[in-house]
Amino acid sequence: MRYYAYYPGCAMESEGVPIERSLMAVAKILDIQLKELEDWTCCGCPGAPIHELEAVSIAARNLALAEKTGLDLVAPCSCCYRNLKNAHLTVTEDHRIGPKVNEALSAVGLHYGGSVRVRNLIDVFVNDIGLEAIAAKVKVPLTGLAAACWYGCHETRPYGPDDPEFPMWLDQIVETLGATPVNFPLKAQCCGGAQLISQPDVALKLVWKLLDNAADNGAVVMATTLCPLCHSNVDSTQMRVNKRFKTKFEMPVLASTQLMGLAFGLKPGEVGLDKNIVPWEKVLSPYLKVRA
Amino acid sequence: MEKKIGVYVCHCGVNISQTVDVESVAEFAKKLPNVVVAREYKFMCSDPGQEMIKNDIKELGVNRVVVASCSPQMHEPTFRRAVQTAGLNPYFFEMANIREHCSWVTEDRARASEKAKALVSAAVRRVFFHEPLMTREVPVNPNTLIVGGGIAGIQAALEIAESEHKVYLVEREPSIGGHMIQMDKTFPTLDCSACILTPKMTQAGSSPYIELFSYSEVVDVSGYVGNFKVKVRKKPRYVITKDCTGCGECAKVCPVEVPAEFELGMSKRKATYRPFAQAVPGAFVIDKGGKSPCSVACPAGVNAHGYVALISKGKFKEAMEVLRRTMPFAGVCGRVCTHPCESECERGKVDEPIAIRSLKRFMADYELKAGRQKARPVEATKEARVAVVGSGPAGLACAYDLVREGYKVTVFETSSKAGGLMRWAIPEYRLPKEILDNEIAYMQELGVEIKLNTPVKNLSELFNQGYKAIFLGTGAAESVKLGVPGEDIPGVVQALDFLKQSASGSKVGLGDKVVVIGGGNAAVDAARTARRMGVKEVTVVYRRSRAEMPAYPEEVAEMENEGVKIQFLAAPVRINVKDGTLAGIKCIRMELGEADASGRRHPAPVKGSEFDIDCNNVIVAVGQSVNKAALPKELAFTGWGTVVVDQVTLETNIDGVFAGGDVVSGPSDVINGVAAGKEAAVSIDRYLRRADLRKDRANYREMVKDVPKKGVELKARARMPLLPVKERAGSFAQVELGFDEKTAIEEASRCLNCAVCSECLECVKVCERKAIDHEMKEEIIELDVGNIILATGYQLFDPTPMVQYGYGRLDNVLTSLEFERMVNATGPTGGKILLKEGREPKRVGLIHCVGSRDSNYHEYCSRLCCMHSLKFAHLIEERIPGVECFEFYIDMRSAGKGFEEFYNRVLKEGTIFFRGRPGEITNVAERPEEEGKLIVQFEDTLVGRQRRLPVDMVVLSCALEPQKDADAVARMFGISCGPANWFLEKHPKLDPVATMTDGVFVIGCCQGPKDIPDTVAQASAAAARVLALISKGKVAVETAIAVIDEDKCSGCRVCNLMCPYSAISYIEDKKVSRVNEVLCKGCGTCVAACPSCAITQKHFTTQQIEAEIEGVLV
Amino acid sequence: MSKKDVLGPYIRVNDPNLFVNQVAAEPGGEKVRECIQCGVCSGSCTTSEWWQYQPRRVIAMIRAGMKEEVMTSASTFYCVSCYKCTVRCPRGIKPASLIHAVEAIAEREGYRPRTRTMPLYRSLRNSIKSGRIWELGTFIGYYLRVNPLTAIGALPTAWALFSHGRLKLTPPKKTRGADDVVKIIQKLQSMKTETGGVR
Repeated sequence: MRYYAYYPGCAMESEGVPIERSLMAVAKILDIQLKELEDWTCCGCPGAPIHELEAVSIAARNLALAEKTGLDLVAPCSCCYRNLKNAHLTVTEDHRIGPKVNEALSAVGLHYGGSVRVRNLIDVFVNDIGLEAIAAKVKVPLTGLAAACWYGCHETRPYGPDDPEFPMWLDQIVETLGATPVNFPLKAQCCGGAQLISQPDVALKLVWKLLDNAADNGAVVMATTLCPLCHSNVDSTQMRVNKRFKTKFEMPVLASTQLMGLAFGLKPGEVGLDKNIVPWEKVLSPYLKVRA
Repeated sequence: MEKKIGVYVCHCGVNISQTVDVESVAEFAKKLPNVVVAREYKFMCSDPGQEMIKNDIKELGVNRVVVASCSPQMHEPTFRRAVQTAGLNPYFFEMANIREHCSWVTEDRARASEKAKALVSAAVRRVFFHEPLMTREVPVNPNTLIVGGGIAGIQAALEIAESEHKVYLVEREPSIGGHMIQMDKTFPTLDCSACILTPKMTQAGSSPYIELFSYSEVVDVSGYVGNFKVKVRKKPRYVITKDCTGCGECAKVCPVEVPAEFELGMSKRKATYRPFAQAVPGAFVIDKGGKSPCSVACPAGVNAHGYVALISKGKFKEAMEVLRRTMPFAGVCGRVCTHPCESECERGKVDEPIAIRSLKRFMADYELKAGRQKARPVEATKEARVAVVGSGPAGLACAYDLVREGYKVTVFETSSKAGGLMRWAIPEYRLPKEILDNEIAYMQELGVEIKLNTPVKNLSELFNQGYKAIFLGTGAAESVKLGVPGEDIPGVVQALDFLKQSASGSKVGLGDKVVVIGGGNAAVDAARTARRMGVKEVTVVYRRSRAEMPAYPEEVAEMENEGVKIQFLAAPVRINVKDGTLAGIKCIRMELGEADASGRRHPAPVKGSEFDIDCNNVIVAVGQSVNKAALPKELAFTGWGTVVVDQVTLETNIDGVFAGGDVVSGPSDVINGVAAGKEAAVSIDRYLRRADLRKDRANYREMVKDVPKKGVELKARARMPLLPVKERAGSFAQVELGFDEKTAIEEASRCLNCAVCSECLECVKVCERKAIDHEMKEEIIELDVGNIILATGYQLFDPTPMVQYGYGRLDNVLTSLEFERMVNATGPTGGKILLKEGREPKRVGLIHCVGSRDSNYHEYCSRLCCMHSLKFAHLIEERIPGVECFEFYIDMRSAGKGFEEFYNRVLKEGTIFFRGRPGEITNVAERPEEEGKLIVQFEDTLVGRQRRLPVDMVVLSCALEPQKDADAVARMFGISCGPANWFLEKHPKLDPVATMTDGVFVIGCCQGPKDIPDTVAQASAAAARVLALISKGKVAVETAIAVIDEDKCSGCRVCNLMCPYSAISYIEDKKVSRVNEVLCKGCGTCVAACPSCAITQKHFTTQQIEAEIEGVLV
Repeated sequence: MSKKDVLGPYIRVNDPNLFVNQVAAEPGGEKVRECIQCGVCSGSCTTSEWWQYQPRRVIAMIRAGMKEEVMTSASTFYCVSCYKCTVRCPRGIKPASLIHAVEAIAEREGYRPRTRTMPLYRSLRNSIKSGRIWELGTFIGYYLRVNPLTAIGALPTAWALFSHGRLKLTPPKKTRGADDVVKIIQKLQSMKTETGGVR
């Protein structure tokens, strides 16, 4: 049994619901204890572009709380991961701003000592749990499922740990599940989610590029990390993309944990597939039949 | 005499005076004890400055001098000389560094001045105690060592050789020439690199004053300027350089191909190779990494790599020769060997091991099909006759080796045919008899005499017949009994007898139902044979489970395919007999308990689980043992009934009698039998030659380490075609049908050539000069030299980590060096610029600063890239009419003679320049015109827009970086590396080729990126420095050496051990240690080490140092 | 300050009000002076096609003191924080953070370039005060700030999410953390963070 402090992030309560469900189910199977960080708040990233120090300070509050648990802090959402990690690095390495952050925290009687390891779950799966252990749990290999493994930005940029230009860890997981990761040059491309609301043209065009390249390379599903923003942005905008670019994409978007769950023999409902927007039944039917 | 100290404070222009209040320092100095005069002056190092000191010495009688200025590194010698010319001992001088230590490290004037005063007072107090010292000189050895045979090393060597002094030129690679010889044209003059370098190379190769150590490395350096001792490791070249004419016949016949380093893997070379045509020395070299795993794994040491390599080139006859160098049983082992070689095969770590056994069988079959010509008999050169008892694998292998050694060998066989269990136990469908006969015939043709139907009663008889040595290889062919009631009745047969009968063709009457007891190969063979004899129902009863079954899995599988049932976890308890005939067998269920000695889980019966299998016959195959009765009593036996022998030499307790194979080991397999026979042969030969039987017998085969597997394409192992099951019943036709030529060649080509050279020895055959020596060993050569020049060059930055540029991931993305080879007329494409798909590119992008000027990789500018990128553009436009070239630069750096003009020329030629470091290179098209192209995504910074430019080829101008072992080399030669790991020169401006270690010089790119002109200039400069020392003939050595006060010395000899220069020796008669003044470097280690404070170091006496410290403090 | 002045030869390098110094003082802007203008940032930028002045150009303009031009162009607000520039920059300048530093200054000094992203950032930042983000609420707030009609385009997305139970209609329960956040923000204000709190 491995223990981690778990930082869900705001999105997990809305668009992230299916991901969180699959995560919890998979975590149980892999003997991972996720202890939700008590009284966590927004990581602060939404305001970061117009007030870095504020964002960092609010993130640091969560870090200060996590520090008390003495556990590694895992965040499924890539943005949370980046912002928390950024806060950690600012406090520990930026001698100009670091002190200010703790000064701000003093207002609520907290202090961040800089000892928390901020991790993302793909990192945990590959490096703590290990591919062998994952393989050992596979009941229904996803043989023949061509997946485009897409990492988005903050999962690896700028702070890694996987290669920021051409990450491979998600591919390795997907391969371990028996599926086939297709060659996907845009695997680390941005989906423009940040601007879906304010500048839809940007976001839609970027999503289109992703889908187009994934399909070109023969992918039938898109595998994402656990980031609810990445996931929902590509899942929920496909019909808008189709409308705008006169395309007919219907590519199910599955979070890594959803794929793992299926391969571990869980039912669609148990990994929150019922909450996925793009229809997935046709593509996944061969792997679901086995259960019946 | 009274001590009068003069203090001189230097302004160093404003370097010091701007932060240090020099006047007040001088004033302060005046008040110090024994100071008679203190002055400050703009430049103490200038002539007027020095005059000032000299005058004071003459007029004021100053006899101790302190100068407060820069680092002693700079001007200590200057001032010592001044003091000396004024008639004082040069050591009556001390220097206070108030520049590097004061003015340059702070802006705080007050504190800088304060520190300056402290240092001055320290110097004053110290100089008070200075004593006169005499400088000593030692002769300079006129020989010079140059490390690295690139243009730098070659140039320096030629310069020095010109003066008729000896040069040792050491080069790691098989040839000198370095990177320059890889290049095509050289900027800005565009003269051909080879054309201007090869004359120098040949000159260096032929000069009587230059001794070339190619394919060699320096492994140790000791001593000091003028007197270095150097150890050089000469790697075995396996070709005798002086005899090799470079005709290249060896390479023609060499079956092994590996990527050519010189061509950066863009083409292949043989294991026997010469990196390039004009190589110096011109001799070939054989690339050998030890022994291949397969060959090491084989108990008999068969060189599998050798014949696999030859098969891959279709040289089946030669392949057979390779095998026969070790043993005669290609056809037999090609069918029944347990192939330990395949389990060790490195290819297995990529996908599947090479089908070595089947390849071996293929070449044997091939020879047989083609019709083998008779073997030429080996003439018996040796008098002694040897008797071999038993004609199994061990016996025959032993006889085979001895006959080829020139002995007369007679094999005694009890039965009517030779071959032992190879003949009797292995059924026809696995090993046809004519295969065995053929191989035995071959041995007989060689001269092995085989006496059939001649059992050997006692050994002394043999000795009496004149045999000088005997080998016992009588095997273990005695069947073990079942040990259950009823097993003696007819109908119960021993597997071996059964197999033997069927092998000898005599009829065996079996009923419809047969039970075979046992899980070994004999059981499986018996069962499958029974089926072939038409038995309807064959059941194998085995007491353990499938996992523990000793028989080969593939055989078991085939057996089941042929319809044989297996009863696992069952053991016989009794043979059921009804009115005198066999009516079946009663068995009991077993369950597996703890693992036993053999590591297999031990079965135990389950109470009351008996059951009957009804059958007409029971074939017992529960093991074999040695038939002790048939062996001479006087032999010593183990508890198992096997013969006792010496593990290494296989000698028995009887002199001149050796034993091996199953008779010693108990039931084993063919290859281990062969191995034993061969070992015995070695012993017998030595025994008869009265040589030492043991000398280096134990593991003489060292295996090659870490075999490169990068970029090996997955390819499945060739499957062995099998006879369809329905055709097998009632037939003894072979089940495994063997490979055809095409399959064999393809399969053999999967070999990774672990050890590179496969030791097939084809090269030896064709070398007319007999210049090849596969047994060559590495040599360590000791050299005495006076000076050392390091010219170890650079290595190219590997752009793979910059994933965004796609090197290694996208086709047609090349490094600068790869492109140099490509445009080179002698290169892999013969000078044609070609894309992977073989056509010429229409558009080429040249990217500057890849890995340079990049804090993620190398901060520095590599200096060459701008210019050679320009050169590339020019060459491309010259070779491909109508091509479009694009340069992506950050800043154009064409600072050099004729460089800017060249830039201008390329601009005129129409190359397009984009100022902007590309963000990425991708093959993901966004517009139709981008389809199938490489797209360079960059910002045209002068326009301020991001653009995407489709091109066919991209050349990355990669950074130059220090050799990866730069650190180690620096340590070995006692010099240091700068921040970027380039060798550190003594002074970047005033002494760019010398280092902090006297007598060691650095030239060329190992000191920092530079172009050919600069490199050559440096080389000549270093040569001049070396020649200066040589012609002067002597060097001053450290005066500040240690002396031992022999009255205080207790003779504990701690210092002897401590001294890094072993300069201290122990004088036995006086019971004290003494310092050798010539060897002492004045490091002071011994001073600190001496427990009785008997050692003092001149110029660093305790008194002097204490005074200095005192001065700093007060 | 007219363009002529700032572009004139007499830039007072140490003047704290000089644009480049302002940016340098802002978190993320520290290394603005170390840029060698190689253009790898603009060459890597995911959204360059929309920028009027692309990242490298923005840095050049900052150093030239062209504050008005930078602040009034909406360029920087097209940054989607993909951090490609940051991982590729050969000088470790973190262009993305630098861009955000510019945005922060714009926000603080009341520049209002023609972009909807800025109001979005403000709505988001504002909603942090409630401890955890309630997306629906935040976005409604945003659409009220800008032209509500633009919400129509987003309806399909909203519906898709809602119909799959992935859009919460009610705000998350207020946690004690919310008060902490507010306290922290107030503290920061009291710390005179008008220059990002670093001068």
